Amino acid sequence: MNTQDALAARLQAMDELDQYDYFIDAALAASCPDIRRPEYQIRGCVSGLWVRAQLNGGRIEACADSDSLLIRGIAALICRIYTGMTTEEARCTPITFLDGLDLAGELDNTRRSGLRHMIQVIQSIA
Amino acid sequence: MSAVHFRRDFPFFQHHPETVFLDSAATAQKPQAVIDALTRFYAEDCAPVGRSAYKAARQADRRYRTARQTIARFLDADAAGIIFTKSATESANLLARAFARPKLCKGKNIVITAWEHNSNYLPWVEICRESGAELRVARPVSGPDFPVVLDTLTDEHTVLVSCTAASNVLGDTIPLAEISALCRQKQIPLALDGAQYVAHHPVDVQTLGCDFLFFSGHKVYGPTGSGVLYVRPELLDEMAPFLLGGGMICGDDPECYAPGAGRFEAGSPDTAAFIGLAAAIDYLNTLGRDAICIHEQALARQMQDGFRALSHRVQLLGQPAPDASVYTFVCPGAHPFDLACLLNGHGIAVRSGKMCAQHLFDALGQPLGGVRASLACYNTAEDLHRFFNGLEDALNRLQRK
Ligand SMILES: Cc1ncc(COP(=O)(O)O)c(C=O)c1O
Repeated sequence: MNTQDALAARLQAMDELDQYDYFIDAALAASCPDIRRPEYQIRGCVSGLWVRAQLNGGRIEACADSDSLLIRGIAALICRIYTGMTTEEARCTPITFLDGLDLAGELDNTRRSGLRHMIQVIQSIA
Repeated sequence: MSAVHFRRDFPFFQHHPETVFLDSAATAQKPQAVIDALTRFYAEDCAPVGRSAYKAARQADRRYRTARQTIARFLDADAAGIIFTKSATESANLLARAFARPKLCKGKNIVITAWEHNSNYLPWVEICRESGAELRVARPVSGPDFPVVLDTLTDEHTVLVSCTAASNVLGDTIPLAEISALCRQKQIPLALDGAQYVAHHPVDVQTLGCDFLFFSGHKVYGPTGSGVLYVRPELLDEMAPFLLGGGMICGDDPECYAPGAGRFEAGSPDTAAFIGLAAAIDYLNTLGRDAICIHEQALARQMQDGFRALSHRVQLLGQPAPDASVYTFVCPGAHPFDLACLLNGHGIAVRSGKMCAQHLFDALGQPLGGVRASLACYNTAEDLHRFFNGLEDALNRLQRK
């Protein structure tokens, strides 16, 4: 099982409030200083979302921040999945750990969340 | 009659017994009587209205006419001034296009407030932009300020004041009688956005003294797709049709538009929706508007006491009236989206964000928006008890950092 599948299995086993606690923990553990700048902002996210993705020796380094702890936590988990991958690998790695969660529908609403846009930003750094 | 009794009439709660529904300002649940009226129309009475002479069509016509009269009585208005639309949004757009737009040009102005929902903001932005007229946005700090700020901005070039009767964000009382007295004195037509008002207050357009009033049926326990624009009948002739099509001409003469409200109802109407809205009004009358008000006032008291008693720092926005039905709050360190998600984890349905009132949140200095809990007749003391427990728990989880 890869790390994303393990994460998905873990989340599936939790009730909704425990999932939120998990995302909040991830948010509090994440650190992404100096990123709240226009060039890093993902448009169209109601809760404010910033992501910085760069290549270091051909490997992705990504980190993100949000006003919302839940979004910041989820974004941090996404960044953790992509960090260390090549762009080629990232492009072949869809984010699946949120599938089936109650929150997924809400986050899929790109007009509101912008997480999908953030994933595209990470996958397309060259 | 008790709240439990009200609640029993709403099948939603049989399907969602664990849900605390505090989003009625967005849309209200429907009583069985409304669902039955819709089903009955489609099952038994389905026929076109205003077009055909056969028996079923006449029956549909009768029901549709009765619905219009019921809706007119709900506003204490002349049925001749009731225009059916699909929503408050369509009503505001119709008002802007049909009444105001032909009167606008450079030098004229429209006055609204910063408390408006986008439905009563964007149509005015657009027609002012098109015509070169000025859109003046009054900025009251609280409910009692409305007459003064409106007085300052209105003048002899004001074509219309369009103002919310009750905000969808703040529960402040807006002094409607003073606003209408001001507009009457200055001879400026007044439109009221009643979307958040009519479900909670008996309405009488004569006493309110407004020239226009609009609302959405779905927020008054009626079906989606039903909206109303009340026009003081004498003003109907000043309005130019907005949508053109079948059913709006006199007889067979396409050059002649039907007199009165019919001119603004081109095309086949959503007959079932209006019959359903009339059923919602009948239902409210059966419960008794006074009984509902008393029940909602008790909920409002419990709500305000509950906010005061919270152990976390929670800021209620505005100054909710003793009978307020909407409560919007912010909490330091807790994003509204997160709070709404965590409350959902407790089975509590609330709204978060800026609620289509970005201007108001800017004025309030709340760039993240807020969380709104709104009340309706089917809410119970137990609902609010669960809401405050859920809110305490949500804040504990979010503020543990
Ligand atoms: C004050 C106010 N005006 C207008 C509207 C628009 O109503 P609708 O979306 O039903 O057209 C709303 C709905 O939220 C509202 O609260």
